[in-house]
Amino acid sequence: VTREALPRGTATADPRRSPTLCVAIVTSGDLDGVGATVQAIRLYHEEIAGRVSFLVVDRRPEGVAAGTAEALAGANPMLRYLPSPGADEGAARDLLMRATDADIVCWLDDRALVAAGGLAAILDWFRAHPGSRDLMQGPQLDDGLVHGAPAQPAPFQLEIEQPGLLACRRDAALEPGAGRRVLCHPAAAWIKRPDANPFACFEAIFCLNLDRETERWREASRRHARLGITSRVERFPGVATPDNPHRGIAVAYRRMVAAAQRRGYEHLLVLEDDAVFLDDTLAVLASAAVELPGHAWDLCYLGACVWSQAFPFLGTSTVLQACGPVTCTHAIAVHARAYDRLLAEIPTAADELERWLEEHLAIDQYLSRRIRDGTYRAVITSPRVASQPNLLHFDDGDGALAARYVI
Amino acid sequence: MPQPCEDAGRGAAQTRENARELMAPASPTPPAARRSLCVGMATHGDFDGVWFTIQALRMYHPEATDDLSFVVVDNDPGGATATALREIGNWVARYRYVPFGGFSGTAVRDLVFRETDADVVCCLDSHVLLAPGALAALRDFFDAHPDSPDLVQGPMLHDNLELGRAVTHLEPTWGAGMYGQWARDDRLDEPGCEPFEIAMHGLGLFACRRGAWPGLNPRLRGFGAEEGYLHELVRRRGGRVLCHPRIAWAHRFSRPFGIPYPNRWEDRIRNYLVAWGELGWDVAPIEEHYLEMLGSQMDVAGLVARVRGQVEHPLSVLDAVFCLANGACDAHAHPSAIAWRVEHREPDPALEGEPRRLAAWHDALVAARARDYRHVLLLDQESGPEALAAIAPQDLERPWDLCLLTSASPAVAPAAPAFVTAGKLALSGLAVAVHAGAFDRVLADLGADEAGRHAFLARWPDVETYLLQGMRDGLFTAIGEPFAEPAVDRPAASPGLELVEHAAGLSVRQGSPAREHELNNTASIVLALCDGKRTVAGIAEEMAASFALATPPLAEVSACVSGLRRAGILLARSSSM
Repeated sequence: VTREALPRGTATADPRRSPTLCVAIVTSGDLDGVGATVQAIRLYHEEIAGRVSFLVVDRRPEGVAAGTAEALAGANPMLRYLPSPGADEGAARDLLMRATDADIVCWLDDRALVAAGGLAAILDWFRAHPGSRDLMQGPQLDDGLVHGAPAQPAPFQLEIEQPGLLACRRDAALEPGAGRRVLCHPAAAWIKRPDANPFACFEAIFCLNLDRETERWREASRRHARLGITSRVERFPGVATPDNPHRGIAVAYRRMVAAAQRRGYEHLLVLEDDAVFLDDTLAVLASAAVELPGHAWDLCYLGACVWSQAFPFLGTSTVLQACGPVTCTHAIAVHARAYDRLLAEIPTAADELERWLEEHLAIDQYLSRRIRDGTYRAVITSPRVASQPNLLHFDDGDGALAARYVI
Repeated sequence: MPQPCEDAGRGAAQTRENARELMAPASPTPPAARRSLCVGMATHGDFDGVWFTIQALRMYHPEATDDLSFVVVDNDPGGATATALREIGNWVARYRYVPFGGFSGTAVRDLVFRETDADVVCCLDSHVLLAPGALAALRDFFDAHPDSPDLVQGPMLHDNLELGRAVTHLEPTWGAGMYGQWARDDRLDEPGCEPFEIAMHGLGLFACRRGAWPGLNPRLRGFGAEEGYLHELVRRRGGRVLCHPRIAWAHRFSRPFGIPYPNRWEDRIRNYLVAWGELGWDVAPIEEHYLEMLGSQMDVAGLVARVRGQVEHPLSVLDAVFCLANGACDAHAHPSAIAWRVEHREPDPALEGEPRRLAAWHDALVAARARDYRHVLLLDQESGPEALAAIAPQDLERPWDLCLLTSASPAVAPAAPAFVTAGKLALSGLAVAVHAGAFDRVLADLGADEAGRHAFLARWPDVETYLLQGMRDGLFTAIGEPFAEPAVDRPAASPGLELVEHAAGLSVRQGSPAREHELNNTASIVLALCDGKRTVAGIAEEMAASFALATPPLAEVSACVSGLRRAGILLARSSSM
């Protein structure tokens, strides 16, 4: 048999070649968590060094301190930082897929630790199954580093896809999902850092601030820092309409809701830049955060002018009340359930908006009317953890607790 | 009968056989008990960093975490993440959360060593990640050197995580407001590199036996100055500062939102003055560096002069100042001489009245003892002394248990009848410093629990009576302004007093300002003896002779004289002298 006699064939992937891995992280400004996640992989997964790269898509780069992103990438030549303001989950993934040429892509939570050897196990599995279109996941550990997955060395099939850690071949990720399996590799256990701040019960926080009001923004930022929410708050530029400030506020609220819907936020907390907070805001909100998912709410007021009304507590709650018609908009959370209606009922066209303002006067009056007629289901914290300076002087406002709004 | 040679030879052979058997390798004895290890962190509400550090240790260092314990000192106990930090204990075994809001600063890490009972303490910055195997290397070192007095550190990895570019120590030079500049020792590159001695290093990771911990100066506040200072303390206690090549660590990635606690030049300069002053180092380079760096932006000379005044104030000789006032303590309400370093300790809110006060005193003295303080000034109010008048530094070097100092704004103004020998009024207006030598006795008497406090109050109505009686009975040696130079202090009555005798004592009327005082018999006698010729000690001796007392009631007479002076019945001390 001569060399020439050998049949010619097409080249196939060398099964001995280790596939490359891209760890893809989508974050909303939490570069602290991303940094720890990336550094832990580099430090404790040495066996995949040289085969791993990182992509970070930041959906909220506005809040990140200057230089942090550069430092993150500068420390790691295998990392690319892609600011993508407002990108929804699908757009972020699409961006990631286009930005990497790695064989395997592993989406990872932005504040996670993967068990030693876990990523190598995923790579090994895909090397052994070069044509696989399957999705590979790992069991999530609880804080005690325990998971409920079966004690077996081989991957097993899952019923549904879970968030957190998900890997697949890059080319398979671009294909339709039908027919592929979702597997769980016991070796790829991972743990997610919990969010310690009760404001995390709202997926996003916007703070409304006019561009010219730099001092108010500085003061608001100081209060946010005391609440530990600096990294979560995104400044949202207000709309200056000196002839009728209510118009600007209504336009800005509509824009914020539209942004929240576009980005896929389940809920959005809107703070105005002069909102002040009660001394035990965090404790009250911590209790409320536990209870909120159990209620079908559209609006959650952290503060309002209640005009001396007393509201009933929800069930056995001691911190949440069924909210009636109130005014002011300095601290309201909006659930995704209300996005469509809000966007439909607050007009964008100038003439329609003028008619809307003639009818409702302002956004807070509109919300109040819709709460009264049962359109929006509203809840309010008790005590009201947020107030405004002008409300502290009135007994039918927040005068009773005025001395405690110290944040 | 002697054995034949043959037998003898056999016997020798047998002996050798036996010897071989006897010399067979013995089974090893069990190793000495492993040193217990605690990883401690002082944090300012950095839950994220603490979580990553603890979980990374548990996930990636399983060979060294079997019996590992954790202590987290939270310097922001009222902050947004305090609850979450405390609840780490729900899922991490041997975890201790220590809220501490008494004061703020990096020196709070001293408490890590006070709040653990582990043999070895590894103190980390929160958000530090240890290289694989580093914790095991640390344990191995201390297992092999169970009595080591050394401070063990390791190479610090930059964000690139490359050991080849890690730094091993700080050079003892100034830069960017810090004493110490990063450097790398070539010994790290040698094959089989063993721990080597370094001058100083950053304190993101350091470890030592708990028993070898030298403690940090209790006057440190705010950020900085421990690098170099701590290392020198270790050396002066016979230890070395080592860089262990296998204990590499990576500091947190740069914090996008900055540090949440104040980082003031004022604190930093003061800390250097405190630390270097303790070591006896020349402090001139401190001012030189800050002048060079900040001179164009601020009045550095003025700032240095101000903090130097705080550091060198006579009251700064006292190791600590605890404010035990109910509710939040406004440091600004304390005299400026002590305001910068007052530590507020919240009394137990579940208690009221004197039991609450007893508990506060007990808590304060327990803390002072645990931190190895030599003395602590206890303030019941947001007040305190402004000076250490009439007490020379050498007085504090002599044996004493209690030091009484005039408070700037007395909690209870002397009122008639003021000068009783027991009860609150006799010590009113005085702040009390307690010497470490008296900690055990006072703590034993105060009682640690409700039963203890009940027993105390069955014997004494309040702390003051207890202290006064202790002074009278010679259990406590007291110094302070009431006793200042009692052998030369010759008190004299103010002019223009109108004295009216009655059965219970004296009525004293003053013309200007118009006042009337009622003195009990004891105070009346003291007043009568204050003729400008007798000394305070002499008056006490005369009182002892008159009333057949075993010892002159120096403390009571001194307190009485002090009170009469505050009331204006006696001339102020400078006038009478």
